[in-house]
Amino acid sequence: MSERPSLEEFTAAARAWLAERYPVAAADTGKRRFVWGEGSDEIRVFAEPDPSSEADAVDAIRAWRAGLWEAGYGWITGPTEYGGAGLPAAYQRAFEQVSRQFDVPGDASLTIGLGMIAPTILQHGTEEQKQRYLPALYRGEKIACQLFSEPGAGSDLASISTRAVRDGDVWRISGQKVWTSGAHLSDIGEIICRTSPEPRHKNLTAFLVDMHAPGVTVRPLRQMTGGAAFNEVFLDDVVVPDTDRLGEVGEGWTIAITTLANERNSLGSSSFGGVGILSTDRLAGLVRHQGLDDDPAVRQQFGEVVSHLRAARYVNEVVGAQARAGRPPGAEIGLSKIALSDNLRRLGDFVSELLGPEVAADTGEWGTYAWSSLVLGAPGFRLGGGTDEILKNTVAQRVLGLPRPS
Amino acid sequence: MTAELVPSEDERALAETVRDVLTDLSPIAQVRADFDSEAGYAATAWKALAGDVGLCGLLVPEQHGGLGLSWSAANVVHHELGRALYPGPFLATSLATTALLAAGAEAAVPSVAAGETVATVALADRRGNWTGEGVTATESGGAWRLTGRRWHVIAGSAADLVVVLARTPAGDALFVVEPGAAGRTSAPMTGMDLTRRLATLDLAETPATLLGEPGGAAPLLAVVGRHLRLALAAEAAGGLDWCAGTCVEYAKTRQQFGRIIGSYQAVAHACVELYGAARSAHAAARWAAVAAENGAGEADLASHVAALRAGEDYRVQTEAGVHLLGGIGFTWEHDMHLYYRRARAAGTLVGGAAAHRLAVADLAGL
Ligand SMILES: Cc1cc2nc3c(=O)[nH]c(=O)nc-3n(C[C@H](O)[C@H](O)[C@H](O)COP(=O)(O)OP(=O)(O)OC[C@H]3O[C@@H](n4cnc5c(N)ncnc54)[C@H](O)[C@@H]3O)c2cc1C
Repeated sequence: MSERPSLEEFTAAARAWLAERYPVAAADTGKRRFVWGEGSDEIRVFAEPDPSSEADAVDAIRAWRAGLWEAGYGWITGPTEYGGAGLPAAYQRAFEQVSRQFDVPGDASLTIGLGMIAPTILQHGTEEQKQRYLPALYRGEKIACQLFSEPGAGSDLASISTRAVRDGDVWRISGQKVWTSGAHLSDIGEIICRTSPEPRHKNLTAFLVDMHAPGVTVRPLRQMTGGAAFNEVFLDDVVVPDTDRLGEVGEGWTIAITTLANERNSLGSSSFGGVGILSTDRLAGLVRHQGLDDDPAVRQQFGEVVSHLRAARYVNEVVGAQARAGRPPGAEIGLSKIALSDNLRRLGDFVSELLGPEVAADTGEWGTYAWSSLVLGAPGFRLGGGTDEILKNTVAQRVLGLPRPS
Repeated sequence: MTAELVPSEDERALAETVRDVLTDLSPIAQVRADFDSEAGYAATAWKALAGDVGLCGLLVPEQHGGLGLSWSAANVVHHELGRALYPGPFLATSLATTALLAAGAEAAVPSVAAGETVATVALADRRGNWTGEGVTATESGGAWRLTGRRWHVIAGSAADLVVVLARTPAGDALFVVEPGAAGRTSAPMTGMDLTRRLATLDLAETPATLLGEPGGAAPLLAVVGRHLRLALAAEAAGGLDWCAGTCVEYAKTRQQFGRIIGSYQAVAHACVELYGAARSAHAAARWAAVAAENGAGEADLASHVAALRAGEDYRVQTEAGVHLLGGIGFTWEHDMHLYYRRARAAGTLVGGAAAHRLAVADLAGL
């Protein structure tokens, strides 16, 4: 067993490793600086590249992950028995910090697998499942999606109707899932199915389904932005071995709750959105470009929006510090996702006012119509991962102890 | 040692001590009794907090008789005082102390730090602007005299020592006016916030000691302003904490149409928003206090963000709180309106929301 490196040694080694493989980002302190007119002006709320470039992007991400895994950075906090490095969370944060100084592909299409599904497997999976799936996920070999919502069951997840029927050593799954982000790229899916006539919450079971298995059909579903980051997934008598059942029969609700909690943790605190949706520099650049930086009303609006963005960041940092001090957030983390949704709306409203017709129709000018993706994408952020209403219900009941609506 | 976002054990112990003293000596019944008293606060609680706990010396270095603590400790103290709507002159005294220390006028500090001298700052004109205009400072033979009026002076009637903003021929400067100085009078202003009294201060050829240089007010005001923003943000977080707890409890017990009102989604979601506001006000106030203590580049910006967001949440959510409680919330006997009053009045002490928004724009590089 090798000795644990100090945080400084670890960080220095990580920096050297990154420097050998990736170009330095246009950054001095790990924060990308914004220069008007330079580079891509792309803004996106959801990763929805066009299909031709998506395949290349996914290859690059897989290669990035494979390299990380090889070097011991693939799962820094993971248990060593599943290939993790077994280091404290501070090492993970240090690695993320240095990696921001380089132009790395990042985890984009893997975030559901790494942020939501892998932790669920770690918590509820069998030994064999952990061995089989965890390294594969962190290595970038397998991409995962979350097969929960159905046409008839979104917020009310417990009322799903996709069925799994036991048949000896296997289960046969039939039904339809919808709005499944990244299903078109995925190798496995965490699926919640109905397995018995027991009452609600006791009749569900979770499985890991092979997305390439016969009977699985994935149809990209266009979202209102025009892109297709989510899908319809049809399951027609899909065979899943019992060894891919996640948790006990009838325990699917608990498994789903774990995954949703992971989702809320990763959504509220995500620094998401590609190049600079939340960048103050970019926003100030736009105000200046529009020649409105001397307008006192615009300066006030800018101050208001920036204060909301900062305040949300402060909350996330305090939550992070509390978690490190041994008090991880509970259901109230949903409030951070709501805050982010609110901030996307505020930003969209502010830039729309700055841009006027230039956000409604493309004049061809850099950095202007690009904001239309934010305006079109923001409403979806308020839905995915639990709507505002559902998140507030959860906080009311679990954090404040208010009675369920009767 | 750098301050942490999660309060240290010492800070938590300090907060608990303050809360215990407030629970014992300044419960809300006492706060209400204090409205009608002459000083506006009771001597017993003040003696315990200022003398025994040593709050007035919180930010004062040990060599000047203080506890030598910093912004992050002040953060937890202001939170508790705001939660209990403590009416004593702690905020006033600590602002004056900050001005004195920033100006290097340590001689006056020990008796303030010991809680023997109540101090305040008198900076505002009638509209609340921090400007020397309205008080003229004249010098003759090295001695300064001040003439004019300051408005909205926190604890102005109770204060012994006052730090006054006045206009010299070289520009605005801060002065110290001693207790009992000639020509100095004060009159209480009738005010919305019953738990924090404001007063006017009249000066007529009143002898005063210059702090720093004539025309040198700006850097001192910057420090005092930041202190006030951090304090009010923390107070707002504490007040919101009380409001959330009170309204959630009510929503769990009050019944209408045969149901607990908290089972109505509109009521439950209003409670969640109140709770969320308390959570984010706390985080913003804490983050800004820690940034100030650690000398972070974003410290000034963060203090404006905290004052703006916590202040706005306090204002909006205390109104929501009155509403959640129904008619009882609008009744004098219920304490909710005391918080609503505090929120409305406190926001005006630091320049108001528009000033913060403009400051954020400046500091964020627009
Ligand atoms: C961009 C995006 C990505 C997504 N990705 C995934 C994915 O990867 N995997 C997956 O499984 N799903 C995914 N979803 C689906 C998402 O989880 C659901 O859309 C969401 O849970 C809402 O369900 P629904 O669409 O059926 O709306 P409904 O549940 O029908 O809700 C309709 C409206 O009614 C409100 N409502 C419903 N119930 C209540 C209640 N009890 N109280 C108050 N209001 C209520 C809702 O808030 C909403 O406003 C995604 C959705 C989006 C938009």
